[in-house]
Amino acid sequence: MSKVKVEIRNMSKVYENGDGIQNIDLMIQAGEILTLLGPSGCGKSTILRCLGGFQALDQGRIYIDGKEVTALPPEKRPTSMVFQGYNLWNHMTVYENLAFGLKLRKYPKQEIKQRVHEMLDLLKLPNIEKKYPSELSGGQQQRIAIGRSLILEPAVLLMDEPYSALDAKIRQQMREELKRIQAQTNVTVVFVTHDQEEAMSLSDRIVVMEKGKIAQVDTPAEIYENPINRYTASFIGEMNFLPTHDGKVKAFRPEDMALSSSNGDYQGTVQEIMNAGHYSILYLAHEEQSLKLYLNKEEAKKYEKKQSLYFTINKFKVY
Amino acid sequence: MKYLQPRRIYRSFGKKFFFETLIFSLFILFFYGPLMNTLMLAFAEQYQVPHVIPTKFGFQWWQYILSQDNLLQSIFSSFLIALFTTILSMIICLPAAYALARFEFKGKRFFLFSFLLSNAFPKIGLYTALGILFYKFQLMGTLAGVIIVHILNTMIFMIWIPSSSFQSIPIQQEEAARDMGAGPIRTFMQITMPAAVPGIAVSGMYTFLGSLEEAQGTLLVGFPEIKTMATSMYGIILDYPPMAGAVFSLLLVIPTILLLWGCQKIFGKEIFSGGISM
Repeated sequence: MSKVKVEIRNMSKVYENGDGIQNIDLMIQAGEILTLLGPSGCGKSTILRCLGGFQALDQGRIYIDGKEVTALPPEKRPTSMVFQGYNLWNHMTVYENLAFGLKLRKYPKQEIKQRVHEMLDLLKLPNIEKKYPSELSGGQQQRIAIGRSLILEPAVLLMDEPYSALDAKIRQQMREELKRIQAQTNVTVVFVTHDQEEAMSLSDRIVVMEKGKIAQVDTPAEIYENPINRYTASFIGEMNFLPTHDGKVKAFRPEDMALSSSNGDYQGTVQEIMNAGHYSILYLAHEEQSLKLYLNKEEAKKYEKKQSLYFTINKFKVY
Repeated sequence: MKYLQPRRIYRSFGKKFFFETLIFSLFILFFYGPLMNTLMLAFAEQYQVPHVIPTKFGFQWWQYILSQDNLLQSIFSSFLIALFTTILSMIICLPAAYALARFEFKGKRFFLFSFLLSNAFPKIGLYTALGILFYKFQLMGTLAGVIIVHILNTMIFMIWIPSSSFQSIPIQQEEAARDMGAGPIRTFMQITMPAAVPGIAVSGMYTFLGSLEEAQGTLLVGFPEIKTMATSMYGIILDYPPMAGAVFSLLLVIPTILLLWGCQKIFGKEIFSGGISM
């Protein structure tokens, strides 16, 4: 049974312009990758910065490994942060960047050397220790930054949108690498992103945030299948909303329906069929709305534009 | 020679080229003329009316200047004062520059612009007022007094330029250092300062050169005990032939040129054209 690594109790921090977080309660399990997900201004970075000690709280307490750290400055907390950019110090080599924390803690020279080499091996980046950050690519820089944080064996690794500045292909590789490193070191990771695809593929659990409050905390599968409210439903994945006669909405995923040319609960006209590789997207005009439906590529061939179609919803939620 | 007549050039290359070249030549003459004249005089050994250019060149006046003890003393004082001014100014101004760059506090704007005040008034008025205070504290004619005057002149550079340099360092660099376990002071010394080196070097250079040429305040406060090259210059112009003045002037100009060239070589040209931004 995993134990609780980080406990956040009733944490609030509100900025002058109204942004911030209010009454956050959260328990982070040891060894999990927890993602804070939400749009700009929802407070995810604020939680991370408060955890790291870079932001003072208005109220609340933070406990790491059972000890209270609320009043401690960043250098005294067992956390380590990887920022979106400008992580590495440009006037130091990769070796010096990695060794900085260890030198500070007065580790013997031999041990520093050994740990740096071990870390570079873990990152699969041997032989670059004499290079300067300006000689590395964006992806390599971020990996070294992660290595620099991990070399101090922190209790929690905090990551503030670390891959947002990289291009899509590299981002994919970095995610896989992070999972590999995390599996090997078993470090607890708190990851912040606005990219729901990143959150879904990377996390053990996701915290969906809305305007400074937690909307839902669950595994990616659970959040996708059972979003707790309209906000979460529309934020994760694609969702169709059909208004019901008593003021609520019926929400269903584009793939959770069955199409038929002859019968079904609802009727609509085909606006457009778009090929997306191994599946197709069919846009159906229904009562002044354009619904998005997913079909496999074989089925999509059966239908054409302006055709009248029926569909039945297999799974839905009402909000 | 026939083809160099102005009329021919005007006709063949066009009015625009002609006048541009004319104005440019006049500008060059105006700008470099005095410098050329100084160079010429400094190496002149025999220069009498009615000759326009010296008849004999040599190092006679250089030997003369360098043999005068009081002049050598003033050269030494100049550089000593410049060095002290730069170092002390750095110690006082750089932390202030950092505070202005990173922190918000009441009266910040006022502080920032207050450093412009000393440059807003005719300096001699300021120095006179300063002189009264110095008499009270018995700082007149002392090295400390002169250095204080020099530091006051440099504050605007040593605060505005480094502050802008500090501001341009991404805060994540400093936060990462704190995260690794470094305290605020260590972070400042090992992470912030190295990253701000170009800005600090340039303002240090301006400080050093500014101190070398500072004459008004030094004259008022330091004379007659403290003599720098700038203050001695007044005397030299009056008491010696122009060649001596030329030599002395070159002695002042050469370090300036060397420092500027060195800075530009190490840090690049953008640091000068960037200007002061806040």
